[in-house]
Amino acid sequence: MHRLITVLCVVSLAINVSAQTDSIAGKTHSLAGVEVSAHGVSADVTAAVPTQTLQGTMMQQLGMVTLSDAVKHFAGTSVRDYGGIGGMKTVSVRNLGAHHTAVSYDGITVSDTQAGQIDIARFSLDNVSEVSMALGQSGDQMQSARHYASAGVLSVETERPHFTDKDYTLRARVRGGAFGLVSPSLRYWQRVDSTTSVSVDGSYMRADGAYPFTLVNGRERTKEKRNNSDIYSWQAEANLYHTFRDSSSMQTKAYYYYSERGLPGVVILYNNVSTERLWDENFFAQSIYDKRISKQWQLCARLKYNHSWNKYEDTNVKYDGGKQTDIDRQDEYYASATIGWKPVAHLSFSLAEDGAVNTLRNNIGESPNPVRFTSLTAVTARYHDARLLVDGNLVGTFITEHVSTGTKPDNRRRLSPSLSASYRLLADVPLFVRAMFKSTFRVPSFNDMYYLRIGNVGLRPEKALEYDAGMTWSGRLFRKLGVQLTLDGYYSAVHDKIVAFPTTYIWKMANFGRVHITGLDATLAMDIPVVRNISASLTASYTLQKAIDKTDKERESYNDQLPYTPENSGSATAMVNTPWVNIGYSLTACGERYSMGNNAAEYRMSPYAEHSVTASHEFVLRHCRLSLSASILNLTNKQYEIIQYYPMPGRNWQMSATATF
Amino acid sequence: MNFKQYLVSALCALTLVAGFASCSNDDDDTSWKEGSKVDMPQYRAFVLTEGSYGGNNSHLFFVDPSADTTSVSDIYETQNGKKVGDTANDMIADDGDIYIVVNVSKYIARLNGSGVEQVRYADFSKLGEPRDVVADDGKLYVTCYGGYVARFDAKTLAFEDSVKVNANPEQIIVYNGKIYCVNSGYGKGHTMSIIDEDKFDKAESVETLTNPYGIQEANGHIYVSAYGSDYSNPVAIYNASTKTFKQIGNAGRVLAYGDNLYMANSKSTDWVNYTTTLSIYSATSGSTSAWTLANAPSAIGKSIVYMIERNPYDGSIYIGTTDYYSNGKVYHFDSTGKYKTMFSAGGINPNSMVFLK
Repeated sequence: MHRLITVLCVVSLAINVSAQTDSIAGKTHSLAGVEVSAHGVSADVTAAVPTQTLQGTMMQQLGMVTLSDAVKHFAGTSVRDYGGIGGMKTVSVRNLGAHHTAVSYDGITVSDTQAGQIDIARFSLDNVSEVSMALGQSGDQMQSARHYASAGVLSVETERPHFTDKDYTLRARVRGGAFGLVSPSLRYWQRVDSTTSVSVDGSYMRADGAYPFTLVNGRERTKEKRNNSDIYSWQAEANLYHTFRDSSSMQTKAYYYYSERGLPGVVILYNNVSTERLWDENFFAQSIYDKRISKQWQLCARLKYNHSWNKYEDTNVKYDGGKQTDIDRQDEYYASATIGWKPVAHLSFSLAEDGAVNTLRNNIGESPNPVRFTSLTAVTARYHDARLLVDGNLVGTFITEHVSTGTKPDNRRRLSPSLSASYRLLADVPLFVRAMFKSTFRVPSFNDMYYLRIGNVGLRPEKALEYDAGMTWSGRLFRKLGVQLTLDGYYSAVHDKIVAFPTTYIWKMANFGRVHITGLDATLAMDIPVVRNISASLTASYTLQKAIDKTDKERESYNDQLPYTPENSGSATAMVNTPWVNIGYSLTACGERYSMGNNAAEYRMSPYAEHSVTASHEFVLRHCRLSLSASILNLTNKQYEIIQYYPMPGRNWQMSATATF
Repeated sequence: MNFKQYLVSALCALTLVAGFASCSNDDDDTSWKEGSKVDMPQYRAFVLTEGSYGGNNSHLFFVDPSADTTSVSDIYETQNGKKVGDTANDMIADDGDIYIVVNVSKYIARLNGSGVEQVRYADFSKLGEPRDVVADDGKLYVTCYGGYVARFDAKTLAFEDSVKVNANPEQIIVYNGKIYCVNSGYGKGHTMSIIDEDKFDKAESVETLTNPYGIQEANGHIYVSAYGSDYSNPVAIYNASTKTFKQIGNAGRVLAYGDNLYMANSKSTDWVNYTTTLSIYSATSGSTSAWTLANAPSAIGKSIVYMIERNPYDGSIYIGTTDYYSNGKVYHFDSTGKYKTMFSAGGINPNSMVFLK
């Protein structure tokens, strides 16, 4: 409790200080999520764009294991979860669609030019220090042009090595759970010298994933089990952190992931045979170099090579030879540099230039082996005084593609502006109003354009417009109760939506659709002092959203709510920290929604609420710290689906033991 | 279930009317409605909708052909307490029974004349998913996606035998002692298979259009519909003596009746907006003319035609349309081609209707 109050005080100070000593970047890093970061869910009250943050310690205390567990708690953010450990999970901000959300891993975006959207299922929270979701871009003016080009950015920051009395730290963890989940992991940190440290971690995970569910078929109810949902994966990561003599710094990372899984697929009535398998391999190496050139100038440069490979196989007598095997290989070469300039007090500029080459090869004979060259240029300007923060940016995109066969798509050139502002209403109270506008678009993915027969090279980009106005407050009630509130109203529109459109003969990708989205996001975070040594905190988020199909007045879905979009949804967490045990409780709740664009009663999906409880405690032993944690997930054993006929697991458990030397 | 919940009140009156008007000897046989949870007129029709893949939303709806009213909810679910399943691909009526082929749910079933399931067969692991069905002389012939035509006893659905055909057989007919099916080969096929019905031992392969999916016969004329290598939906007529095909037009859906082939060709340049052209091919003259339907709603011309069926009892034509995501519409024309009425198919993608009396 004391720690909380202290942090809140520090935070208030930090805001005042940073407000007066604004600089190009760095400081905005320190602003992000600062106010209630001590105890978890944090929307930065000072940010001009809605930003929500979850800290690693809080996520652990709440029993969150995967990135999607965390993201489900962000207001206005939906996760399309196909269920199970290996099931695909994609993130959409304010229903703009997963393609509009960038996922940033330690400062560099993760890309999948083939699918166009990122499956976040494979990101574990084992080494994550912070997860944040920013509408538009985060407040860091030194970020890459790709960050600026996205409608929303989900940022994952891994934990940097930190040392106390020794030059190394070894952490061993084993996690186990229902449905055959076993996951051992090791992490090692070494301080080489005062300027250099390294971290290496590796983990293995396996699960049968054969969880039971109740299948409702008319008046019949049967007990079933998920079939072909096993998974195993290996993951390893190494980081090198170095600070040069001129105080510039570099972080270099190598990452490897391999998995094999069954794809249980949609539950089909009367047919529980599922034979699809997927193998994934991903390797990337990335490096970020930061240099403060002078008081006025700053440089951030990034390099990344990404290689991903996957093999999909289905066994069925309907295929020639009884099997269909699709193999895809993607490579990305990416370079980015941002230069920041702060010519006078309160005013700063940056220029970010990103270049990327993306390739796709697969085993389909007619594949055009596309190569995409992308240039993104972002020019930004910021005014920041004691009470006013104004951010503006303009992103220019140029894309050209090369294909070995077939039609080459037209080159794409487009400008995307964004403007946001935040104003502190009272000098001595952290009460802010904010507003933003952002125009972005998403380029058709390789699958959209080149997928065998379905692809359409004539696709136009899908455009998204975002408007937001909000109010934030952070302060104390009854002297000791730390409270943070954010409230944002928004309107967004998506035009020329790229959808797979059924035709008389085949599905075809087409620009079809116009969506208007109006909504309200509210978040609350409270720190409640109880008694000495016992503290509690609460967070809550609520989203009210109407996402309406405005495509065609003659279609039945005109003015209907988009599929899988509840009008009401929310989440809550509660944590109690005592000297004996820490208890975390989390709730996600979702109102009625439809599985089809045509909002017929047949496609209505029931509301659900999922509750989870985690108890944890850390023991300090002679040579190590031992942390034990046990969770019961879906406490009420609620049978629910996020995507229709993809049942989610019922009540289940997870336990972990972590020893840190 | 309360009958009033499912049928419009007009249907009650029609039931009575049908009762009085009946004159067939079969009217005394009530086995067709044994186990039925709702009352139903003697003269009935059913419309089958595929639904969308993975949605388990195939539906069977009852239609009163005298009034063009439909059951309020899925008659299969009402009668059997469970759903049809996923991607019901085909339906036929034979000897008073209804047969449905549910492709993704991987089963075939025999329902009595009121939709009460009598028996089903679901062991298609070696044969591949069932696709289409035809009945003849107490047997059912089912195309199976593993490249087989399987034969079943039409009453017990006991599996009897199978014949290997080419990859991914689609629609199937029986004509003059021979079984014909077309093989799409997942887009790469270009054959029609012919099996002697009595011997049922091997298939003869005949070259046809690329990626064929449909086959129909009337008055001895056999027509094959295909997607074509360029997805132009060619339709061809078969010359049995030379074992060759001659393209006669382009259409997404056809109906063979008499010496005519009724064709609906729904085309789009942007895959979003459609124009449907209706035409008639005459097998006797070899010429094609416009298929004029009096008072036809203009919506048909902008829709995707997914089904053309003929009511054998009164010669009515039913045209089903789809937009692939909402409940299809069925437009009813009388035997002279005059528009009568339109009703909802009850589900997405209406693909077959059967009529029973």
